[in-house]
Amino acid sequence: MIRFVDLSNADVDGLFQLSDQWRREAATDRRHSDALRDIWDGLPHAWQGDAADVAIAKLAELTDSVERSAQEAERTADALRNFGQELGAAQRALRDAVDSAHRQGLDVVLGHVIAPETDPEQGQDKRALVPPAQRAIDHALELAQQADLTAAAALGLLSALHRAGVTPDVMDLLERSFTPAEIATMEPGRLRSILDVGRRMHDAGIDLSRVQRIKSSWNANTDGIELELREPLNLDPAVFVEDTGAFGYDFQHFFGGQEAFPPEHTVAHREISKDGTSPALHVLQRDNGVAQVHIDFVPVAEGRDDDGTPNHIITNVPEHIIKDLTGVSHDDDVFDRYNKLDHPVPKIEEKLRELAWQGGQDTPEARRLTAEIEQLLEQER
Amino acid sequence: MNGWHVDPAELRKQGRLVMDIATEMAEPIAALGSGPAGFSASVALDRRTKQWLADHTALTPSVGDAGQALVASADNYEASDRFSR
Repeated sequence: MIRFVDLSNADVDGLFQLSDQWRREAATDRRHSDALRDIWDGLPHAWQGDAADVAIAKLAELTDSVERSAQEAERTADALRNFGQELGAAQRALRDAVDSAHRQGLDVVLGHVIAPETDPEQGQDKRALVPPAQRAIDHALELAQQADLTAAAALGLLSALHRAGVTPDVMDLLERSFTPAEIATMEPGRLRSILDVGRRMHDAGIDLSRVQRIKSSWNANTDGIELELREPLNLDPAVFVEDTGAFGYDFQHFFGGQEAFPPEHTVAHREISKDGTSPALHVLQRDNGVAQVHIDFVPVAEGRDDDGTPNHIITNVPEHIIKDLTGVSHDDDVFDRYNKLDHPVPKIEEKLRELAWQGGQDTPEARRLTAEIEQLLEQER
Repeated sequence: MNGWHVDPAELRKQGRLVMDIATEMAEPIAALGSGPAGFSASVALDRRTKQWLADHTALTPSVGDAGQALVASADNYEASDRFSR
């Protein structure tokens, strides 16, 4: 707990000066990284060939490192400025609380509010004033405590992320999407997952500035990540899908794709980037420890039915089968629905997924699969 | 080797510019102060400062080496050019 004396004496202006000092260091690094970038940008005019390629790549790497140093210094400056603002607010609240206590004739000794001993009758009145005055001081100390934890977490996390080699564009996206306090208190698995998605996008050469923010819903089994886009990502389909599993059907369905759609291919990404109308791109990572299913980085766009209702994954698996298998209705959360779709009887699960591949079309194959699933369910009962 | 080209004078100039940047980077950084006493954030800041300084210090020689490598390459190309003539 922050002590009264520490909050009273904290040099808040010093924190702002410190922040400025870090920002100056950041500007110096930035100047150096810009100069290095100009040099390696122009180097091919002076030198081309295998040796030049190696040297240019090395220079590019160094430039990135200097730029990362600049960004780290900027983020430290930001964290210190935020700390200064929050600590300043706590300090003002403390001073107001102490002034208010004094105006009411109370004493404040090292954060403890005391009613002075005067005549018994008046003293009684003053004692009644002590609890609210004490609460005001305690509240200011709590604000300081909160500010301290947030700043400590932000600074500590910066060190950890820096050590982990998180690239500046991914850091930017993370910071656009979450407050320092949210990042600092995020479940490690969730943070890892977000950073992993960011890293994959970075490695695939995607310009992350096209992403407004990243949203994440995370639990022990399912890890849903949604990206709000500023503009289309122009994804390379070859990069993103390792196993579309049951989701393949949805790409085709939502975008009216006409191409054959085996699991190792996708048309969805192109469709998303072409029309640019999809406000969100879902990335579902799923790692089911039991079935060893790993669907990695599968983008799915949420479509809309004609009446405007959201059109989710597995919508076109017949409703009574979904309900029978999962006990969840049409409107339940899409991730929950998919998660519960795993059936302990592999044959049923397999047929269900085959059925999903039929894209909700009333084909002879779909009718056959539906009948077989119903039969298997009947046998189970 | 296909399609290689070198302008030693320009390469040397660029290498020297990189070395100049390394020299600037090596200039001592003004002492980065500490946070207020009694706060966990101040402890985290101290750690952060030490780490950033260590990383920064380690980076400088690499930039200097890269500059020297460019200058050395320019020298080598010139020497081999003289030799071949």
